Amino acid sequence: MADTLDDVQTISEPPRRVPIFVPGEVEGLTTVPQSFGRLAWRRFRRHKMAIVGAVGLVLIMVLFIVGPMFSDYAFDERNIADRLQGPSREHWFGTDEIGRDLFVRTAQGGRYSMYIGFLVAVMATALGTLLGAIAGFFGGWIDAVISALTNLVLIVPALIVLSVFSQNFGRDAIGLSVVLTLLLWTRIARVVRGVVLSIKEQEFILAARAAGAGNTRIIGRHVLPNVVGAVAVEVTLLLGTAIVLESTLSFLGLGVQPPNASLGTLVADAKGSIESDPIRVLIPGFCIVWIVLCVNFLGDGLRDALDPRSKTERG
Amino acid sequence: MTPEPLLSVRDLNVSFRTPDGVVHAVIDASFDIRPGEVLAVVGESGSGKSVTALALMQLHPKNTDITGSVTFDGRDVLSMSDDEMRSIRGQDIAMIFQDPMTALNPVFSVGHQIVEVIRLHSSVTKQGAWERAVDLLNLVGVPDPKARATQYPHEYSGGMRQRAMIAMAIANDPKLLIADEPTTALDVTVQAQVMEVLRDVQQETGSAMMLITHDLGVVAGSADRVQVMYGGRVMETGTVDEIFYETSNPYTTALLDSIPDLDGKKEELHPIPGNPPSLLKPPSGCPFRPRCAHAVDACAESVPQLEELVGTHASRCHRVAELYPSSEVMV
Amino acid sequence: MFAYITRRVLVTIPLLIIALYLVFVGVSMTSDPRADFYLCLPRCQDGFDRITEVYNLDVPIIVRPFVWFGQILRGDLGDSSSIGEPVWDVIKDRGWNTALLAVPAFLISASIALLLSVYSARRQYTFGDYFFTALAFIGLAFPSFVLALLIQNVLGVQLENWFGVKPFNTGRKSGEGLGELLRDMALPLLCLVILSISADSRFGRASMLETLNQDYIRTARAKGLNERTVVWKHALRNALIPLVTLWALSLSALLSGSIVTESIFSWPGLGPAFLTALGDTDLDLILGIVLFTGLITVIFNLIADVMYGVLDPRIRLG
Repeated sequence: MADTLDDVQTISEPPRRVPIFVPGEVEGLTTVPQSFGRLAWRRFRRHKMAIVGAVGLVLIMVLFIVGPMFSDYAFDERNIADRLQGPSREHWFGTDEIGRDLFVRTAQGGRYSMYIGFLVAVMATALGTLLGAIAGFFGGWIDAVISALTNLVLIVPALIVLSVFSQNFGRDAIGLSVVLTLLLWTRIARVVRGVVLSIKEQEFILAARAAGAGNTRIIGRHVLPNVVGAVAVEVTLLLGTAIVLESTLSFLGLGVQPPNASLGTLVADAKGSIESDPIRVLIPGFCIVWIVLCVNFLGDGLRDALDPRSKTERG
Repeated sequence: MTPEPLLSVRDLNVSFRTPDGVVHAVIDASFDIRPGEVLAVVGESGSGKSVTALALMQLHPKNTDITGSVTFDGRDVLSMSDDEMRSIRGQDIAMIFQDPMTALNPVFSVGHQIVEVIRLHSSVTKQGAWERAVDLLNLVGVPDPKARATQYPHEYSGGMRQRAMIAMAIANDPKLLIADEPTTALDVTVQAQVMEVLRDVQQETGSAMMLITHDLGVVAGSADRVQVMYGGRVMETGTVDEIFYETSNPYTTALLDSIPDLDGKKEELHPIPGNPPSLLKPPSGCPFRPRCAHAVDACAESVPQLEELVGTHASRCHRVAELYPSSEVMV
Repeated sequence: MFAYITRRVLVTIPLLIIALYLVFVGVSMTSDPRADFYLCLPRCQDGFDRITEVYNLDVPIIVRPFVWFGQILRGDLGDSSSIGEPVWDVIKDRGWNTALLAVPAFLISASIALLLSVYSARRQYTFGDYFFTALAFIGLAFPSFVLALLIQNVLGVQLENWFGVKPFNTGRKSGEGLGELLRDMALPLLCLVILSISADSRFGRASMLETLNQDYIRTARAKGLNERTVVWKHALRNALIPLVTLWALSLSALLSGSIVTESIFSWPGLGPAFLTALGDTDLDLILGIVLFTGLITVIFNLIADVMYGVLDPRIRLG
């Protein structure tokens, strides 16, 4: 579907052409070998966008979790007398048509949306990594089957498939998460499979074996770091996509159902009064945009930090 | 008596601005290339040889600072406008790059790419240019050139691709050929063939050549003069004979020593200990000092000058008089 | 090439069939078209039996899809219970409306995204690059429904409130002449274009940058070519290869109809029809649309693969 992000290509910045040297110790005689982790952390820190993303994400999560503690109103407390008010000192975001405080509801919806988002991210990562690794490692017909499965999932436009299945099976958080997971595992699987395949052929694995390393050591020291890097980036993208899809489905009435609320349902609720009270639509909408933006920044920063290609180049 | 140099480089300094600091890739490089002469520029990775070449053609990346003077055919290159520079590239100065697989555009046929450089600098018809391209391919030894010209780079073998690059470079009879490690990316068996083609082509066209390589073996058979670079500086320069038989610099000596002797006369391998210097924080004094077997305190205090010895033989070393008494002639 | 296409088709068609099967079973498992009828039995036995027959409800769920497959192979897509027309007609009419939005949206966004990509890649790290990058980031972060509501409200309603003019209609395709049509199309088109450009331009920029960093670009410059030729001939020709693939997928997504955008702007395309069908459990229409969009995806994926082969001589000639 044109209005879902399921096929958005990853945002990438290619390595710079300029030689980037890791300053050495004494007189440039030897350079201190920086471990991959430290190198990544240094570069992550230097990537301002990623920091901004991480901070932004933390900020809004704090708002969602801690914010309602400062409000006197409960999630579903109704004061019909106060209904349909705009933002005020009493009700920071105003009230809805049955008098519920919108700030608390937004925080609630935000927490729920992020909860589902994280759930999907975790499950899809687990499933994708497992299937991708199996496909890459064993190859042959197992690989063919899993690859066919990947293609199967992608054959019908995402939102259409999601609409059908979430309406029927996605009425609760777990169900919805499962449905989203079954659609979103493919990117991670593809990435992991690619990494495993390329590693299998790499000489450094043979070299490690020749040096006497056992399987665990090989997997731990050599395979995993490469996988983690690539997967971490995909996971952030996954999180963003999951949140957008969930909110879209909820907006359409196919995802989260009352009495639960997500940012999507809040937008749907507010849609009716958009002409008189556009703020009510904008706030949950803006929350979604904020979350996705932060997640994308984070993902970009991770990619730059973990991409081993843009390390050192000699002139 | 000696003809005017075709290319005259004085005090060339090339540095890059990076997030980690300023990288000094080339420091105070000065050299000449006379018409028809082959100058081999030798050094390890990071010695600054490729950067020098790119600077000559102004093909360096954007965040580069270049100072000094480069005079080609009487014209000041570094102050040229883009248009002037472009009329020189591919016409008067041509470059052959290291990896022909990536240096040729995969979506255009080889013939097309040669024709392109021909028609860019002359008003030949497409037909005429194509014929010349086929002739050039023939000259460099590509079999069945007429058919091969319509093929794409990936359909050529590595050696043939490099021959095609050479053909493309000499298409407009350049006065100066710059060959940046032309055989490094090729199989050993093919290297010799391609070097031969390069040599023949250079002799036939009479163009000068700047041959950049880290392989001293290649140098011996192909060059007139040699320039040894290390840590961005010229360490020693002279004729081939002077460099090989009257070596006057510890680095050059170490380099020559480190070549495995296929005749089996030497027993051990003598690699140069240590690592190439960081161009970000160069060692104080002589760049080779940390790895030099003959280093003394004076070597850390200041960078030695490039001293003239005999004729065009020059060496950068504080102790050149002591270590190489036969070469030193007080000028 | 021909063999390649055939192979690809032979592989994807079964997958499409499996997907359709799963959707069929999935929908059938949780819905029963006879739900209303149970209460009025035995009075409405006739209606009950009729529905049972139309939807083959006496056949076990796992077998029912095959009956439907047989139907479509005979060219019969069934009737839409929610709209009251044959499914084929619905798809045709609504599909045409969707295409009316999709094709211009694609053409506009693809060209603008291309120009932006080239610009951004050439002027990397300049203010312009950062600016467009920021815009793309923001565009990507907007779910379609938020963007659509925003546009509809600001450019549709508020414009009128503030300035008293209403250059764009806020919805519904009334189709009274070209002028009105354009006014109807403007806002949903804008929404689709913004979303597409955000995604395409980032990809295009990355592709272009990677291409510009290749050695053969340096060779082109070393030959004395001017920067315009280097970029628009040597670089673009290479960057176009993955880009064309993206275009095919983009267009296919657009043609599959945008459920959200079309709904919000009340544009009578495939999107709203699908939602209605879902709400009413109009099985024939649901499956018809799934089949249609699935076919479009498969066909355009195939086109993308073929284009890849056509444009890249390394693949074309092995």
